[in-house]
Amino acid sequence: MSCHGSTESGVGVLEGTVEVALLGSPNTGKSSLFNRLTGLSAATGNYPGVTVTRSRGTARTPSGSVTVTDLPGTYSLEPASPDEEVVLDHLEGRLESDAAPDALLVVLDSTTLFRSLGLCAEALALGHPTAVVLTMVDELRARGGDVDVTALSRALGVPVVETVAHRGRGIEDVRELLDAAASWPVALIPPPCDDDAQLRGWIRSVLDSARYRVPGSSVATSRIDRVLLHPVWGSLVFLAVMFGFFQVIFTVAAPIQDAVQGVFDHWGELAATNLGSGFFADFVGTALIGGVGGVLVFLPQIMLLYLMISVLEAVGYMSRAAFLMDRIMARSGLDGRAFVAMLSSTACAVPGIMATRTMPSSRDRIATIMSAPLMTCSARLPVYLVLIALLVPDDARLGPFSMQGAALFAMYLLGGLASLTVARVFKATLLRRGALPFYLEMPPYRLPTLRGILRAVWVPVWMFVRKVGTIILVVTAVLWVLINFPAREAETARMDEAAAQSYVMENSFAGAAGKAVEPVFEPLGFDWRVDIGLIGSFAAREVFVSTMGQVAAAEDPEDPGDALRQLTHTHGPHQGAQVFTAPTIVALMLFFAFAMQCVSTLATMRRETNSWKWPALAVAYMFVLAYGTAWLGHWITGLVIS
Amino acid sequence: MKRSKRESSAPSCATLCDVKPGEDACITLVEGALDPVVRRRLGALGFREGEQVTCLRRAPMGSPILFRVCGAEVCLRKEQARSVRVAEQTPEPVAAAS
Repeated sequence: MSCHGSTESGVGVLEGTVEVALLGSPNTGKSSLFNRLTGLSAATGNYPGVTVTRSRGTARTPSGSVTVTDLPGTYSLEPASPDEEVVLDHLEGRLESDAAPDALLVVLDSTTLFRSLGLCAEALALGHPTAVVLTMVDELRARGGDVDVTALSRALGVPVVETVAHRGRGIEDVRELLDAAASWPVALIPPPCDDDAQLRGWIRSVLDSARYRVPGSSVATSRIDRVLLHPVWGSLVFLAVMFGFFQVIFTVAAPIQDAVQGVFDHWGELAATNLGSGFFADFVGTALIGGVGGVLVFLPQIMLLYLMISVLEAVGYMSRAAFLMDRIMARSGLDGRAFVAMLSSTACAVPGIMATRTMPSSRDRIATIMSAPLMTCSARLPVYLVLIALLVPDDARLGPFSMQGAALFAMYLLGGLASLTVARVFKATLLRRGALPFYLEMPPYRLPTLRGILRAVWVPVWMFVRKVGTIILVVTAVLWVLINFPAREAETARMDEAAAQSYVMENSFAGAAGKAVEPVFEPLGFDWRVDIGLIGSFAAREVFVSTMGQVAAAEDPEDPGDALRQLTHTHGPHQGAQVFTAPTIVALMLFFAFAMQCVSTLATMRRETNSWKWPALAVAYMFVLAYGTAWLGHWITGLVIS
Repeated sequence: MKRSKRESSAPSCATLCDVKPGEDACITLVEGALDPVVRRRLGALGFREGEQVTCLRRAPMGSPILFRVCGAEVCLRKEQARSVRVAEQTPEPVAAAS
């Protein structure tokens, strides 16, 4: 394909391919259409310098291919927010990184044409070659509406095709249309966009000549909503859905996670038996297999999380949840939509942060990204389990409940409250200006498609494995080197294995680092060995548990509880005293609740906010919060027990 | 204070916030004192003068409120709903079906 006769700046990224921009309001099925057209070739990223996501991909056409850019959903080309400004800048070729599109494909929800033709009019007025795709025509007709596509095309002066994008109907017509993208007509008489009354007159005359009939409300949707949005029943169903959600994440995922853990343990043993007992065997067993296993163990949980979120989203329940939760989320300065991100963050902050992509305002998006890592993620869980077991006796009870369970619940509550509070602070300070009104569209309930769900699960899960897996792998490998070197083979020759391990550790690079930062954490009651665990946990929190296992040279590194209980200070004023006293454990738990100890989250933050500024700020504020609360916790617990 | 004053005056001074679930209203004025950005966004969502609105339901605790406008279902918070004035009598539908 060539781009003769198109706009002057038609220098595509792929030489000679026509650049087509997809323009449409949010929730029009624009992204479904884009996914259908480009398959898995699409790459998602932010515009340089802004937190506004766009996707680019190649769409096959009968005689070649075109490059398609999925612009962020927008209601109007008169920008109401920086997010929408990007759309206009892209269309007019003002972004250095992207050439102006050669042609515009306007995606309109056929059930709301009275509203969406406004955007179409603005698009036509830009003077680019334009074509229109009508989506959800099946819904339009099912709800008693109708439109004559040929007449609409005549009235608009540009080609129009109808589709049911998420079911894949009409996609071939769109491909054929894209084939001629460079020769799409330009509207001869631009619609009157400057005057409100004239524009609405234009819309009415276009829709009259297209014999458009407005659809009624969906009977099924209003019946279901009568229950799901009912103040009492709706709230009960919501609680039940949330309960089921957590059950699946923590109970259903558990055996699968154990199985994955088992496989990696088995491989670790294989490595140990077949590779001997040298450094290489230990590296393969501990750093490579242990490191990868440590990440992949969360994979079943994350897949289930995405599965449930994408089903709830595709069905239309997420908007209902946002509707029910808005009043509570409003207290944090965010809106109901942030709820999905916060909820996902109870499994892992990485999917939580990625879930913010659907939020319309970049300020809300950043506020959510900055506060979501405070939610109690599943990597904190193993740490809490070990520490709570050290702090609270098994048989302690609070009424009918186990005291250990209550302590864990308190930690979840703390995470939730902290993240809402932090979001509020960010919204009241750094992210204050330019508030858009709150609005939320309620799509009719729809049956999800298998293809859509699989895609929604596969894309982020694969990204998690690829990006996040590599980071953790590198960090575990580095940590392994720091803990095991310099080698002390001569000194440890006559020691038994446990003694040798703790000797190597004490004199390793990590040991030196732990001792170097000891004065910093001394007020919290941590000794140098806890500090090694802390240093390791800045890569990933769950590393703390296995590092403490190595540190305490426990028999079973995955359950270091007993060995830790007996750990005593090796030097300094507290020499011989127990390290894991109640104040220290409380301080550690608070530290883990607030500190940003997750390289994957930071990498995702960097990706999603498009700058190092926000991840750096997150590390700083969370460290201050963590240190401050840990110190307070240490002091208060000390007062209480003495 | 403000609300009771509005309720006691002519029905044309009622706002979207006063429309009860199940009732129709016609938008008479989207308040000009609003931030132009907010006004434009409300307009793009279908909340424009002359448009017909149905209140569908309210969330627990009264906000947000779900409306049907221009063939779509859209929620607004109380604060925004209050800035859209309506007449509760039903005029000729704007979207005349042929």
